[in-house]
Amino acid sequence: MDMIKKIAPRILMIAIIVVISNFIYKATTYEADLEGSANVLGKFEDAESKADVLYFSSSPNATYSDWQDTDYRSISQMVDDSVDLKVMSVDTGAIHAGVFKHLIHMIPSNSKVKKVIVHLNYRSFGQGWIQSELENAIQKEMVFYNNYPAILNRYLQGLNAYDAVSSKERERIMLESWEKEPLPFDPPRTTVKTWCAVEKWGDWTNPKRQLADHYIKNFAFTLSEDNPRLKDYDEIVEICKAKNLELYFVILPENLEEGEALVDADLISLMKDNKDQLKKRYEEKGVTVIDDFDLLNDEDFLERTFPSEHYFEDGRKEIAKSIIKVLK
Amino acid sequence: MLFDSLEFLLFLPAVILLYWIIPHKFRWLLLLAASYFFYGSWKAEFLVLIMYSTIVDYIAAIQIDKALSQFKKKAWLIVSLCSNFGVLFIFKYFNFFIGSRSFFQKFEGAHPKVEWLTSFLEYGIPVGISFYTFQTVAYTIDVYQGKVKPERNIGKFALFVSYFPQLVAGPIERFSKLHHQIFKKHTLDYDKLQKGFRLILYGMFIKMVIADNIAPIIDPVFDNPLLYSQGDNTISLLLFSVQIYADFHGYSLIAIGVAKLMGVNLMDNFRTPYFAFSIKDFWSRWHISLSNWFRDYLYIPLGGNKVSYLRWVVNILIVFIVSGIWHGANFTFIIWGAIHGLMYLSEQMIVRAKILELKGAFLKGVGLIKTLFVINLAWLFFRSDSVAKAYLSICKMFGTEPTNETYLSIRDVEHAKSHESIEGILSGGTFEVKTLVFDSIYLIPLLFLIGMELLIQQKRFDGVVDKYPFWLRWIIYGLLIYLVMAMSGADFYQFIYFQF
Repeated sequence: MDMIKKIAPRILMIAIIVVISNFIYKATTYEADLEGSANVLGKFEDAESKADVLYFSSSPNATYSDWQDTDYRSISQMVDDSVDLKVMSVDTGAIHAGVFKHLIHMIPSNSKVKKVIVHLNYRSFGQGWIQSELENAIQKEMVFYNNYPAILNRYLQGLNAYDAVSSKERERIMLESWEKEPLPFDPPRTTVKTWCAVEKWGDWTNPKRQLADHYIKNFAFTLSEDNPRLKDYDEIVEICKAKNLELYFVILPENLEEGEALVDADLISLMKDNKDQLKKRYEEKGVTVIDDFDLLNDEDFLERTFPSEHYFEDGRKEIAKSIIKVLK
Repeated sequence: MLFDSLEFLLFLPAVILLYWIIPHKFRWLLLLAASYFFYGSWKAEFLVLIMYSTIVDYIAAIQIDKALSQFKKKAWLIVSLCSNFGVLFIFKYFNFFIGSRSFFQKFEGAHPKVEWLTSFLEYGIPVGISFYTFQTVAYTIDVYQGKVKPERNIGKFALFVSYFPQLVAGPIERFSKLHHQIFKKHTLDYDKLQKGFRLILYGMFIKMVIADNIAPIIDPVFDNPLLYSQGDNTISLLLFSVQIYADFHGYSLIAIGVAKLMGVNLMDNFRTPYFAFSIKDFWSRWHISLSNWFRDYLYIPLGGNKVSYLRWVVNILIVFIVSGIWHGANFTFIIWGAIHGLMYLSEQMIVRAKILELKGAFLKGVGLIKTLFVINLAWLFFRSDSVAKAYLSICKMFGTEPTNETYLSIRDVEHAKSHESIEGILSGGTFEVKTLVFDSIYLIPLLFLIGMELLIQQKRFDGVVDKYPFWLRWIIYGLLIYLVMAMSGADFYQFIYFQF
């Protein structure tokens, strides 16, 4: 009893300190922390209060070429300019469905948002992206999405209370999957590792060889139910159903022409099979799927040293058109 | 499960609460289960190794005690030493000697045993293996020397080996000091609880706020010293000396605090080491439990200072170089140990020759600066991935250009790694360390640490704070709670000493 009498007031003191700390934190470094590690949250809060349609994307939405493009508008801006609804983007580089689902979950029930458009990036289903070095930063950022007092979220970040995996461990998981996960082809293309070892473009110093490797590593995989990205998109569907939000998935275009030229037609057929599987899965769940997978040609793609979903002005316009058509 | 993790913050109160609720006779069983759960939370497979060490040393110690002839005693001691150091060698140094994994790859599919070893080694260095190996080795040597009687209950001995507060990063305790404390009937003592919590709070502050915020600033500089200025390289080295101290000392303080919550007093591992006046003084303040281990189980058995002068010099060098190797299989650690060894010897030679005695404030100040300089120079090798990179850092710090051969070899490595030219990286621009540090709000906790260290000197945080009035104590607690909650490093960085 004596012990409780001694401890109880001290626990109360600590609770008071935590409450005061929360006030001080929100008044001082909170904004800077948000800016530094969760800037998409600010975008979300702004867009959610103003828009009819929320447009969730990573860099493909807004990346442009400042030397070739004349129209620098993002895809979502192009859509917004062409429909009667207010479309606002919630985007930042390298984020994925794992982040989108948390943000969609935060849309309040009385929100004016009625439709949600989500980019479905085929590459984000591959181990190269799942185990990306940026993943820790993304996971860290998501701690701020918890509905706890700001200082508690910050403390949880400090405790690494997120899916924190060392970059060495991520690399190990990625290499293991490339080495062991079977692909539906005859030898030597039975795994990503053995497929990459096929010397089509000479040694490693050849840029074409490097790019071909990137294509295989990023696009050659089979979809399994364990795929974390698949689970994320499934959850998005469930959240939107529960919140009565109309959901659209936009399957982003990939540079199939370059992929076929650098690797072979089998890679493209594998990619298309996976894409069809995804499209079927989500259409059956009642999602409107806008399939832009093979919408663009090689010249619409911006990056030349890595397969990405960054498009020149014409490419962005084509994607915007396909979305506008469905929204209208 | 790291001390500064959410899992541990849930695990600890549950264990402490249960510990004080259940009857004394069951407490050791609770602690054993908790310790194995704690260690297994990293990788359950590692439990096999700690169980192996436990069983071997349990049997060896009993056999040493039972043996009638000196020959048999020695034979069992050798069995214990070989098995302990054998495991340590395989997991920590094997890759270094055989040229890493590629050696095994040749055998893949060839022999099941080799495949098994390959897959096991791929798990990396088992957490804390150097710490618990040294603790159990000390135990068998103590039994051999008749200093302690062996524990006959294997469960209780397993708890001594795996006692979770100090399992993964020390302090490396002796059987004679720790064992009876763990099994003693403790009564709930408010004073110990208070001191324990104070140490945990201060330990969290210096680990999470100081060390974890420094890591992301300086890591890029040590990865590519050539890309940063003379000032940035120098500041990064100074910051590393703060980081490694805060990281390790913070973790040790949490360990001491956690044990105190259960009534157990662990030894101090650090006593403001950067206020040392000499290398000898430094080693009486830095990682004290390891220094004592090397003194008792290596230096003295080698003959200590009761040998010829030349032999003594050799003994000192052996101890420091082995201490370097203890940290890891890399020439950088050997050089780190050698620098300390050579500096220690030169100081002792001056003392022996009575050339200079560190008396008076001025000479002590000179001694302090000289010691800091040597320690920092040695830290450079300790932190660098390779000797070549350490050389580049030194060149940058002293404003000289590295020789072409070294520059090219580093450049080639970087090129192979990134497929980019170093000029390309250079043109990309980098951040300035001094801007990040001196224009940052994180300078406040850094200054707070320096202030506390000046106040603490050779004492301990809990003892110093104890003397303050109630209101001042709570202002300090409040400040520490705020800093830990609002300014901890948020990036994922493992505790530096886990790799050892």
